[in-house]
Amino acid sequence: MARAAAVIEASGLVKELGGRRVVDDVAFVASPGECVALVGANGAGKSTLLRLLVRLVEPDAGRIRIHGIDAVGASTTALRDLRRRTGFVFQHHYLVGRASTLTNVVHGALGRVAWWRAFTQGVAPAALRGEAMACLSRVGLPHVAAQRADRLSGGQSQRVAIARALMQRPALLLADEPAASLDPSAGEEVMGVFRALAREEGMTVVFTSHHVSHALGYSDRIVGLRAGRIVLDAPTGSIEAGTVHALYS
Amino acid sequence: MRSTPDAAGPAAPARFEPPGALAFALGVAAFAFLVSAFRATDVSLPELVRGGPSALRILGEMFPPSLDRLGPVAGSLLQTFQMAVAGTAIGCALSLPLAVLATRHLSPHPVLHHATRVVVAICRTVPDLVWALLFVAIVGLGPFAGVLAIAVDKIGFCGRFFAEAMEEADRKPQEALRALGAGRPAIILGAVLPAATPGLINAALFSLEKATRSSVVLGLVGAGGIGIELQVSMDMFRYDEAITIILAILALVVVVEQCSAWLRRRAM
Repeated sequence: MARAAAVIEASGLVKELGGRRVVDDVAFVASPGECVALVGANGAGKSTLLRLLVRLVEPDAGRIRIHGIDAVGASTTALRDLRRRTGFVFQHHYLVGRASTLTNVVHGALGRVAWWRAFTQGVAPAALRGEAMACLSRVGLPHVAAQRADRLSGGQSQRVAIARALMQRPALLLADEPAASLDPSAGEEVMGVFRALAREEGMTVVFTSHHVSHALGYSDRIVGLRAGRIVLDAPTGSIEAGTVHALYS
Repeated sequence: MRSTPDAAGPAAPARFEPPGALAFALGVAAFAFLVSAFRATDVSLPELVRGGPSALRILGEMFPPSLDRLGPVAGSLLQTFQMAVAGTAIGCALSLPLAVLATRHLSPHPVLHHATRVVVAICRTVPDLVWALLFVAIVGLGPFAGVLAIAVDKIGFCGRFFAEAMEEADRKPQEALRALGAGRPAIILGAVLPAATPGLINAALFSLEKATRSSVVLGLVGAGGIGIELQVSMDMFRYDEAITIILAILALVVVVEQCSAWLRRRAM
């Protein structure tokens, strides 16, 4: 794939936390429509790398270009624009528990519309509410729109978090261990949603996972990290399960 | 099996640790100050006992309560509660933006954060009776001075507790909104306020209870409400009227506390 069209281009990324290099001279590229799995043992630097990409964690060194925008040197406005175009799904969904499911999905538009039109579904224009309902339908949950988010199951919450990310109309979706807190069947459902987004809608998806089966079953490419360095980067079809398991030894 | 402990076991530690020289000196000084406080304020049990017959006489004159001025008393009681509600509403409304500025991670600048904390602390530290005296001097006698005094007092109370509720609000949804490009107002309205709502309602209802009690006293300095009715009855030795007013105040406070407790349970 042509490098000029890359959605993510990162090089020389370094991050030290507590006197330890958790990301050490990492170069990472993701192309449009690609579904990439970041794998590695605890502390390998997967989550930090993901957060560095949208500067939820500030890098100590390195270059990052997302959607062609220089993320490291971005102004506050440019950084907000970059984040607006990049969906981020956290391990524990991070929904606003006391708000309705629909409000949580409408929140996905907060980066692209004025705050007074999207801080709650009650004030959102009809078009925005309709779009949020469509996003809920894409994750199979239009029937829970009126429910409070803290009354949803773990799998439902994670799918709502994905719907919120879809509401951003992102070209890139980053997911930090999205299935880690879910039971196996809910985890498969969530991973299925990611695969569909990449294959059917051409969205670039980068997810971290401890589940070797998820990495092998749902990604186009696997990037393995150990002690903050990339030690494996190959198409999923060319990798043996044992090679991925070895990253955890 | 033997239940008695082994008499030859290791020695138990001392029952009491002897205080250090400084702690002992401070204890002696504190006790001396306590004694001087009793002396300076003429605390006397015999005086209290001698006042017993007067207490019984006043108690006797209180019953049966007089219902002669029930209409004006009810009007004043309503005004007292209206003062409390208006003052609390103004105080809470002003406390919200101040609380945002006083919340470390939401304040746009550390200087603004500290300055707001100082303003809120001043509002809280100065007693509401002093605020009432000040506002009576500024806007004249009447309930408006009372409303202003309650509002400023509530800024001190709610400003602090609203800020604490916002500090304690779950940060994860806030991070999620930040990650999708939301700005500060969106994060505050979309994630902070919904999470802090129980704490905000709690503080607002407690401040209404407190305002209802304090609005009674504010009348004594001319800031409107039923306090002035009570003062007049006491000054004219109309203890039968005074007990009616006291019972009416008691009923109002109990009703407000019960309603507030019910609303708090609903808000959780």
